[in-house]
Amino acid sequence: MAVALALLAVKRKRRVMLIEMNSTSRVAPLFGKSTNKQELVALAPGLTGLNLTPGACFEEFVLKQIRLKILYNTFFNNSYVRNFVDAIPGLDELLMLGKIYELERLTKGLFSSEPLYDLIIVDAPATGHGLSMLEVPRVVESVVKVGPMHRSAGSMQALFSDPTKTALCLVTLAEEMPVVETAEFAAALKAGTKMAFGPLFINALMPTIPEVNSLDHLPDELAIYRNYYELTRRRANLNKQYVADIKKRFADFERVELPFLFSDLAMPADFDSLINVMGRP
Amino acid sequence: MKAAKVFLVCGSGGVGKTTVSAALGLALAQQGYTAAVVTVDPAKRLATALGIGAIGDDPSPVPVKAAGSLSAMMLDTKRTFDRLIEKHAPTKAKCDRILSNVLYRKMSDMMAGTQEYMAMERLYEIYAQGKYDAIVVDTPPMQHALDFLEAPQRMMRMLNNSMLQLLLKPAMAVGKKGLKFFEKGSRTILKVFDKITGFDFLQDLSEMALAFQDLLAGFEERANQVNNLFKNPECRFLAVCTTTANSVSETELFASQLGSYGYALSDIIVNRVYSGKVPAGEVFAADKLALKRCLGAGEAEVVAQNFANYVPLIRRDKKAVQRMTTLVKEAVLSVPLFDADVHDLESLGRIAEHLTKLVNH
Repeated sequence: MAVALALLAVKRKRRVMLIEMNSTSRVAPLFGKSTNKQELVALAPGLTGLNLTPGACFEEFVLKQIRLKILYNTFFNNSYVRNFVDAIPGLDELLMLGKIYELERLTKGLFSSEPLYDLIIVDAPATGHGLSMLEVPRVVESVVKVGPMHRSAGSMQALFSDPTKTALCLVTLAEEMPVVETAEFAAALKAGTKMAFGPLFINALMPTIPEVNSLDHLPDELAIYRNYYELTRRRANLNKQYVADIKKRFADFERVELPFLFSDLAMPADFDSLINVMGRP
Repeated sequence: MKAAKVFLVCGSGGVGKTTVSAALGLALAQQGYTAAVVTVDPAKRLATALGIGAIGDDPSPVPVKAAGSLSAMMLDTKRTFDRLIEKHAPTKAKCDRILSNVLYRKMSDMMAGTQEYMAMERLYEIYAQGKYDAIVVDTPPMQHALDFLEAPQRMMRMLNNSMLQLLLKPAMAVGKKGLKFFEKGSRTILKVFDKITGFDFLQDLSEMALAFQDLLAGFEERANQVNNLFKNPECRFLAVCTTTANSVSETELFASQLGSYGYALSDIIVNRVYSGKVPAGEVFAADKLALKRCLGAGEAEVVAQNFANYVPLIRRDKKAVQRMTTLVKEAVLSVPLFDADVHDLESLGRIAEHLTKLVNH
């Protein structure tokens, strides 16, 4: 979904930064690139990718303070410091969110106030871990009363809770468990952060196909056709039922319904059908 | 009582791990086990999957019609941490000192690896009680699954950190102004951390961390017990995956990383599989004619085109399942994509039917 949104934005001539937080990049291979470091990757014209990891964010932060890589390697690049960082609650999350904050503040040049990126899209961790991460700035700001950690957390909280700057977009499937979980997640986010919500994406909706009545009479050797027909019809009905449920639970959300794809998303062109739906007014 | 079988169910987010964990618990209960399912994922999916209102840290019985029984529980990280401190603190005063520390109270579950460590602790608590002869653990999503295994060592390294003894403790004693007397390396490290956290926070952290030093022996003993549990032949690592390229390659990576720890992936459950024999070109053409004779031209076209849409998925899934068979010593089980929702005990039973082979060996 994050990739589809990024491609749509690029199509509309925006300069986009697409951020993921995976142990290895899932985005770069889609564009025929490879990276195993935290580095800016030119994915396509107007689209830059970045895979954030806590260790790389820490290294980058420290190097900004001490400048010399040799000093970093001598004093910081060891298990003692790493274990110590582990013991600082919320630091990993603050470092990664801090990197996003820093990217948002980048401008085109020293004397320009124009942002370097029109849009920063973050492919956040799945519900449980995503919620924990998003709550870190608020918790840190309230518990750590003074000092740089308090100030950093406060700045991040201000950015992420500014509805003119940040929107949280939820993605769900039209099935019981994803819908219930998404509703709980939205409620927890409303309570635990002050983030504004963007569109709710309802993904992988089965197509509606015409009714065929006489399938029971098909001979056994054609059973596979009947089975897959029934699969499509029943799942489409299930999806329809839960789309109605979603409309009630998320009545104040903008909703975007996206089709089920009968092939894998292996390259940018595979996203066209999603982008065409997302881009409709 | 015979030692319990433990099933550690691992996988990426969104592959159906919680649903499969719940179904496995049900399959075990149906086979006569006194089974427990524990979720450590912060999202509350397990209650929904089992069709019960809510579950907490204490076991909730699940109303199954089975030869055995099924209970469900959800890890409460903070509560488990509190219990651990109460158990291992040498005195009540030291216990109270930690429990009242503001950083501990508000932020302890934000320390890296704490949730995974408490999950291990809870698993061991349940295992040691001896009430259950089968325990299914629904672990956090795959990226963190190895954190789960490393949790005991990681916690020990955090508590036993030389930086605390050699650097932080003396630094707190002399205060920020005294740092100039430290040697260059220590000064550099402390200055950077001062910029990250501030000296005041470092002091609070130092107090909390030093209080934990008294618990070290108890935590170490528990870490060894958990490691022994992982090495027990009755403890099995299962991976749940789907057939997408990402899920397949992540499962392969996980299997390889498990191997580097000296563990082996016992079983793989491939979820939401499209299966069936795809007819070859000429056969498909003949089938279309047969459909036309049975249904009429218009309806035959609808049915044939619908099936043709699934052919790439059926082929993809067949290859994915074959790839998975090279990774395990026991079984690869395929669970089909059902035409109905799976969100209660009855529908979980459909998945449980596909898992009985796993339960019986």
